Amino acid sequence: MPVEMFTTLEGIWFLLAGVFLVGYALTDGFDLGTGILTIFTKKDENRQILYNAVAPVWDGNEVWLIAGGGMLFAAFPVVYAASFSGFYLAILIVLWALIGRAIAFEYRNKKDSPTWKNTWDWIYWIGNFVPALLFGVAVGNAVIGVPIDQQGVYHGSFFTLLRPAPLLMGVVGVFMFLMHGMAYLLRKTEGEVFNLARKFAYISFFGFIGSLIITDFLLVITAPYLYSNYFRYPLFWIAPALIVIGLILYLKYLSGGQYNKVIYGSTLTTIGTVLTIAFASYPVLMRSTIKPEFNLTIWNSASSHITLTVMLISTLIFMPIVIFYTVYVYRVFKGKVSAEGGYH
Amino acid sequence: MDLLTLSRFQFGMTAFYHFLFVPLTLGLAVMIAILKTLYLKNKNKKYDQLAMFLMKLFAINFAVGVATGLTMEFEFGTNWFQYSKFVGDIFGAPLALEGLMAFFLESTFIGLFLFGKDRISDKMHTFAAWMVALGSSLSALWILIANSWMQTPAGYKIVESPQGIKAVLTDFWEAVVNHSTLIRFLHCVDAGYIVGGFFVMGVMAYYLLKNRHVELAKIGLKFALIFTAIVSIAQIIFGDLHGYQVTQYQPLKMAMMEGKWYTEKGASLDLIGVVDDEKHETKVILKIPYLLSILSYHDPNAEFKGIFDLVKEYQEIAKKSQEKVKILEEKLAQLKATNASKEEIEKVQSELALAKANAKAYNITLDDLPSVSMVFTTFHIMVYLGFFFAAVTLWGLFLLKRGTIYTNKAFLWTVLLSIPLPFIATNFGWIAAEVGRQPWLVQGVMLTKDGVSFHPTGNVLFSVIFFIVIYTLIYIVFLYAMIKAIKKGPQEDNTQPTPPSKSPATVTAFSKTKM
Repeated sequence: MPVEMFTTLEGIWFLLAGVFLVGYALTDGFDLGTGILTIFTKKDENRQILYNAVAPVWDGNEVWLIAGGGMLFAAFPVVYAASFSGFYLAILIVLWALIGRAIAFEYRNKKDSPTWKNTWDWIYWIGNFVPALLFGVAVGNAVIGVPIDQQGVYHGSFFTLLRPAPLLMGVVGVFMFLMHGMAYLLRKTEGEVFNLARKFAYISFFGFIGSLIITDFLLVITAPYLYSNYFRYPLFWIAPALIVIGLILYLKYLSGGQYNKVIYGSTLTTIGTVLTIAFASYPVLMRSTIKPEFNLTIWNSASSHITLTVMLISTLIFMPIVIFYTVYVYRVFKGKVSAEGGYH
Repeated sequence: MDLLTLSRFQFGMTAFYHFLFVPLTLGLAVMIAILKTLYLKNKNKKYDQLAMFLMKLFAINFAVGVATGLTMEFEFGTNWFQYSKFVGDIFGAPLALEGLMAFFLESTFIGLFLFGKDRISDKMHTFAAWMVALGSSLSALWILIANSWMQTPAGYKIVESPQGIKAVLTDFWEAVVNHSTLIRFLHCVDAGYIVGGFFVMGVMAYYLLKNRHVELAKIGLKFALIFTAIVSIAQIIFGDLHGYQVTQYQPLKMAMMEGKWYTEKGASLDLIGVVDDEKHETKVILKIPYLLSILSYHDPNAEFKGIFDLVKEYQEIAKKSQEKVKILEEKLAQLKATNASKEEIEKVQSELALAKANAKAYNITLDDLPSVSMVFTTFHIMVYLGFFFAAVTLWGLFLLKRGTIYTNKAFLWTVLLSIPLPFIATNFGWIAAEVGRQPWLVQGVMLTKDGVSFHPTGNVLFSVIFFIVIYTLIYIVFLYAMIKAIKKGPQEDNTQPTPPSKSPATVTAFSKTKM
């Protein structure tokens, strides 16, 4: 493992950026996963259970994205500026989808009409599926490389982002979120929804492995530079190892009927997946396909040491507090959910 | 339309829209927390029912507020690439801290408040309400810190980097408090409280007029009236202090808000007037002599600078900065030739970068100014509405003392119809503040036109249209949901002996099996 990672502010912030990504993927990740299931059940009652399962917590979970965006802006402003403006339409599509998701929660039950509810369910599904897909696509593009110049100005179009490899990484992301969401539902639901979640847990498990292998082969051919870190720093193998351990646990608990524990498997797999990509890219945050010198790395795109220090201290103080009350709220809502109640 | 206009329009529109929801959540959150505390103290169930009812309305607002707030967080990067790169070192931190300190708090505890009532104690439920209120106010604080820095930047230096020039933090606290954060925060959050206060008064008046939920509406109206009276009167003081501060640090904005083209000694306050942007003149219909000088300098004979003179002054600064650039460049060449220390060279380089930025940013003409009539009109309407709010609440207090408030139809109708007015006042205030900041993105350092992203215009046109469509649809659904919830009204349960945790009105039945 490169020593400088732990001794420099930039390196610490690279890890912290990873923490926020993991935080988002682990919390809102299961929201996205449960939401993707919406259209696979026709029954209104079952759909309502899917909403209720995440209703009290999704809002706090989404803050990981908002805080993560803010953290990126504060710690690596050039990357924030280059990626958000470069991926303009993609970012806005994610945004509109998330807006739809937020509104659907609140408004689905405001009118007792099947058409009304069905419309919101589709908006809700798009609001979960599209971000789940595009997050992976965005990360894929950043690490594989996009045409950015020395100033960080993006010279491609929306369709540049839809190359096969990043798209495949988007698919991996969808299966990852689905796995995690199903594991969450196995804890939170009973009856029909539970059975559906078990079925989709298997589907997403094999979908994840399949898409991961295909992506891997494609990347070996098209972006071999993503593997060089793993030859240079053997300790980085921890990350892919986590994916494998997570997958083994997921299948073991799922097939063994220990449904409350399946989520441990998907948690490890999610952490492993995020870290695997981060370690592959290190120290590059956004790769330039025009010239390697234009790569945005943690060294040339970071904020000043004053800002990084202030933000580090604030994070070290407030992150534990956030985790403390988040855990408390999750404990309050422990147990299975029903179709009653929720949002009226 | 060109890229800059479209980008500005999109940002302005999405910010305006976002701020249709935020002030109400600011006000409601505090009122709900106070109501819950009153309930803890005197065990009157009406307070609890009122709080639960208001929280439902809060939730409808909050959902749209969160969703549209996400837009704001992303838009700096998507549409203001050069700006984000330029100020990221300073501007990103408050946004990140908002998420970390405020938004997690608000979002996590609102879930607990809405769905956890039958799982936690009354004390914990009240605590959750206070955390939501604290979160929303802290959130406003960090956003206003970021905004205030754009208005009155402090605690920074300018440096050149491989990716262009940028502002770098030198003193965190100086940047945080700068010259306008505190008063802007008080003014803005208090405005949110007025929005919430008038909203609750209006809803309670509606029930009284309809003769529904009478007992509850009486308690609610009295509570909201006292709350609103305090915050409306406080706002007159905050408004005055804020105006005083703007005169000191952003005289051009103040001149535009007052429609003053020419410098005046013992300046009059022009109450009613029409600004002609083409002819650069203001037709004054009604004015009070000396009052403007008193308000803005707290001195009747003070000189109030007009737009023409201010623009000339800024051009002077630009010229001087340009001269400074030459001197510093020579000095830098000398230092480099004599192998001076690295610190010395860096210091001169930083001074040079600032001089360059100032020379560019201050080089403005009358054509660079925004629509003065827009700044003038929105500002004046905001001020008039502010006084109207204080007057209405004083009228209400008078009626309350006489004991006729609950039956006075004129008053009840006035507060009911006044519900939209504080929304107009808060948003007009922001228009005056932000359009009045033009032509700068960061006052004196960066021009708005230099902050935009490099996009094909079509992309932004597409997003503008899409925003308009979905935001309009959302607003229609929002109004429908709000009106429906208000018509349905609070769920009252008067079977006294049952503890509130078992009341069917408040059980959300989130779960079948409790832990």
